[in-house]
Amino acid sequence: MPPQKKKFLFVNRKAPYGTIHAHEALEAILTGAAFEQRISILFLDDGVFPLLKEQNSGDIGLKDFSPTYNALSLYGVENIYVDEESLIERGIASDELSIKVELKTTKEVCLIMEQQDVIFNF
Amino acid sequence: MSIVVKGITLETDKDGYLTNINDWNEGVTYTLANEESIILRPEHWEVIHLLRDFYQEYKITPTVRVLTKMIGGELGEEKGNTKYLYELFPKGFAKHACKLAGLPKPTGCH
Amino acid sequence: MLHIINKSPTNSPALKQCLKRAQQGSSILLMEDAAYALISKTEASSQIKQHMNRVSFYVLEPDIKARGIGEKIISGIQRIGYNDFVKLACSQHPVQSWF
Repeated sequence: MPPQKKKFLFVNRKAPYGTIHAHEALEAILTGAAFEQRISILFLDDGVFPLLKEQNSGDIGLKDFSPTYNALSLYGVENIYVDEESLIERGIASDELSIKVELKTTKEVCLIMEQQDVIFNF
Repeated sequence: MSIVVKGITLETDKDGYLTNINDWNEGVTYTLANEESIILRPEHWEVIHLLRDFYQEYKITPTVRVLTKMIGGELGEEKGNTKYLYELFPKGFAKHACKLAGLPKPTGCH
Repeated sequence: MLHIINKSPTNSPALKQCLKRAQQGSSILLMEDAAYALISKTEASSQIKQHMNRVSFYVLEPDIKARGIGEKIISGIQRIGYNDFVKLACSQHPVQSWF
């Protein structure tokens, strides 16, 4: 019997562009997905900002990687969670996000974290 | 490095991939195919256009798995496998298909 | 004088620390991730509103555009480009950066 695949959670906690964290997280997620791992993603705190629609970073000389989040489903990543409280604190409504996500309460977020084998932080 | 297409010099990286994907035109594919001794058929163009459309939409180069799934869905199920892809692009997906389509190397393939 | 902040208000105390020190008549430029401080109905933007009558606020338009928040920011903020940023930094001194 093949060994049971581990459960990986990628936690995104940083805004895009100001630091490289959000973009690096996405690259790591896609690489993990290419190896068919059991991947979940959690967008928490400032990590919800990269999901806003209509980003256009041409004028600041950086690549706009927000369209790439739409490819996650094609890569087989299905568990995409967003901390609802983080959205509210930042004045963002869920329909302003560019992809379909599952909204989670603080309590649910804690549970999701505890259920993982490995957590990657960005 | 660079390549010359119809008298215009285009910048490439050290492996010959276009630096700016917007520099691409069909002439780029013809020039690179010629260097790699690939004779382009409509089947090549189907895949090249699919790859470019994917990049325009998602801003990344897909993995082989994602591409073959997409080929199967859009160009016909019998084409949606790596064997078909390798028949068209003998040196493989990254080295041939992406390069000819004017895209960067696939993520996770550096 | 000119104060420059470039950190997100929900990930750094820079905005609060700056607002506490900015004197009457000074200017504050929000750039990079500090642009998020201007999203309406947030703690950060309501703090900024409280200082608007004594401090001039500026934000870099390219940073607003990059982050997709053009429609979400409070009114009363002067949106400027890179050329005006340079003029601002040259005309107001000294310059204090909060990061």
